[in-house]
Amino acid sequence: MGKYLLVSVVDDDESVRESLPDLIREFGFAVQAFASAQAFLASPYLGLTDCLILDVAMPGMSGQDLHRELLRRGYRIPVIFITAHADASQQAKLMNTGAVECLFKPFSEAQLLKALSAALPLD
Amino acid sequence: MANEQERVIEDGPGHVNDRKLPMSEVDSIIDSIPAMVAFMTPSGELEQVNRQILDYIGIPFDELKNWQASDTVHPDDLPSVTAAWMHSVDTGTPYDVEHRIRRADGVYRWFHVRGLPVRNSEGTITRWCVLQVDIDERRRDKVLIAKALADVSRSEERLRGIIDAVPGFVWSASPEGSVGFVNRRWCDYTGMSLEEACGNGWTASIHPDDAPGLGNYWQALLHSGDAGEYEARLKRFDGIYRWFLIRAVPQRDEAGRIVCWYGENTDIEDRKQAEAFLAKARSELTHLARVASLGAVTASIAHEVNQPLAGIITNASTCLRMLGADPPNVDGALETARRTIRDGNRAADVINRLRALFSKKSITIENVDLNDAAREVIAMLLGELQRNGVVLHPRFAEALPPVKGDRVQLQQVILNLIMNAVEAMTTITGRSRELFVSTGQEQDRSVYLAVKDSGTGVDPQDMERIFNAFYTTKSSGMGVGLSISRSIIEHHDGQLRATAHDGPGTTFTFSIPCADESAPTDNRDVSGRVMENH
Ligand SMILES: Nc1ncnc2c1ncn2[C@@H]1O[C@H](COP(=O)(O)OP(=O)(O)OP(=O)(O)O)[C@@H](O)[C@H]1O
Ligand SMILES: [Mg+2]
Repeated sequence: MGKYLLVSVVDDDESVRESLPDLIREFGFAVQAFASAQAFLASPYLGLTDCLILDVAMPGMSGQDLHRELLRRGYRIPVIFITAHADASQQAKLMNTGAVECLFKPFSEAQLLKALSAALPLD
Repeated sequence: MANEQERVIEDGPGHVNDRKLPMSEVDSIIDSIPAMVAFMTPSGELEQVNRQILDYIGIPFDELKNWQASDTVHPDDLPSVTAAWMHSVDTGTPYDVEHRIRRADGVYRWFHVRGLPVRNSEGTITRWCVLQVDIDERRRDKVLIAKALADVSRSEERLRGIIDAVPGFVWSASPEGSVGFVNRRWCDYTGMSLEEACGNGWTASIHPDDAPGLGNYWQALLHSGDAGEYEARLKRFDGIYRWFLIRAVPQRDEAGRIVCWYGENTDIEDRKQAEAFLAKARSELTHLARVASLGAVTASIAHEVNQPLAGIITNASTCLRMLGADPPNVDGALETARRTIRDGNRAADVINRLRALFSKKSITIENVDLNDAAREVIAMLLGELQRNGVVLHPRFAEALPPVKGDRVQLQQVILNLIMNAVEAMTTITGRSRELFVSTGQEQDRSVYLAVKDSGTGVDPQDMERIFNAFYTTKSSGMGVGLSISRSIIEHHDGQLRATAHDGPGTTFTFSIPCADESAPTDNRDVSGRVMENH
């Protein structure tokens, strides 16, 4: 358990939930995927997550809403936003909320790895 | 005439007296003089009159002797006549007065009355010979003329007063166009004098940007002889320009030749400002709407496509890693490769869906008059054109049959083409920025609309590439205008193409089959088409 850092992925898009965990696992992390913000909040992995990869536009509770809720509850989980809207002004806004990175879909393996290493200082 | 008669009398009585003709003969001589003659005594009494006088006045000689107490001489003239006569009698100087004398029927007529003294060999006045010539007609004409002249000058003054008071500028010019008069208000406004304005001087008051256009227009009017109007800015005495509507109307004689031109300029600055404000607001709104709609379209395309692309790239990366591991994870690689294909198909589905969305979404097919559709777009863009210094030449074909299509989409195409044309001319200097928007019918009866500019032009090898989505050479362009336009036109069973033309610039033309069923104006043609089609 303590051996692997846990990365949680929250995205309403099924193909992301399928593909991204496999890649992250290949990087050597433990992964859990969730289809919605509520599912993540209700899960036992909430307190165990070391890094959160969070889709911005989701029905119901958005990625930003979840991030805010976590901060409100006192969780200091590093967050990497991912979004299919390549909007620079939104990216700046998200970074201002304290996110580690904001990646535009589609992003490369290298971009993801760089973001993860920024979020999780390896020791 | 009067002089001749005068001479006759002068000599006449002298000889008569000298030769001592019998009195009866003297009477018959003076009676035969074809004028009214009277003889007065040296003291001024009436001595003798000829028959013409008695006939004219119609009273006996005895009564006539007392003429100063009667109304024989017009009462208004009597005082001056009496005074002048007394003066001549006193001094012996010739008598010369015009006054009215009563005719037998009571009508007064004007006479020129001249009296000369007849002297004996010692030089003493023996009598006065007085000649009275009827000048009534002449006199009346003269008075009439004088009165008419007075009237004319009074009405001229009145006219000038009116002209100066007109709340606009009034001017006139020769048939050749040389200005000969401008009213006071014109002078007050421009600060120029009438002399300065005359001839071609007035052109100095026209805004330099408007002067060539106005000059050409004025020449065309002078040439055709038509009345016309033109909008131009006029410089006020303080250097401020205001917009005026300048009207010119030719004045013709009975033969139809132009005698002169009358003109009038009306201040339309307020109207112009309101128009410019409206146009600017409208143009900005349109631009916003256009950018917003294109932006929204691209954003939605991007979002829909980016989702499966993210899956594809992630899966492909995973696949490579699994294959590169030691030992390779072949089962995992196969699974991720399968997912890659699935996501690829999903992306293709998105594209197909979008294409369907583009071509079908909320299209309302109706008869569209391309002339009207284009006019509406142009009306919205007038401000934009003006700001960019673009000169618009609309060339709309008359009796253009309608096309079947979605009006708003077709207008979107026209808007894109015109905006591209304007944008292609913004960097042009050293030649004019000309925009031709024309409509017409091709030989196959399809209706076309062409947008021609004098802009940068398109490199021949890029003629097809520019229709690709996201191909743009502009820093702020999205490169979707032409691709969307082409998809709209093709959905209307039409074609959109770009061609180079003589001289700089590009022509973009789309043509659409005309809605023949709904053009019953030309029955023969329609039935011909129907036969052909079935
Ligand atoms: N009238 C024209 N003259 C010269 N080049 C043109 C003209 N119209 C289009 N082009 C070229 O074709 C390219 C693509 O045009 P298109 O309208 O598709 O996109 P855009 O104008 O660049 O951007 P957008 O329409 O999204 O604002 C332009 O960037 C320009 O290089
Ligand atoms: Mg364009």
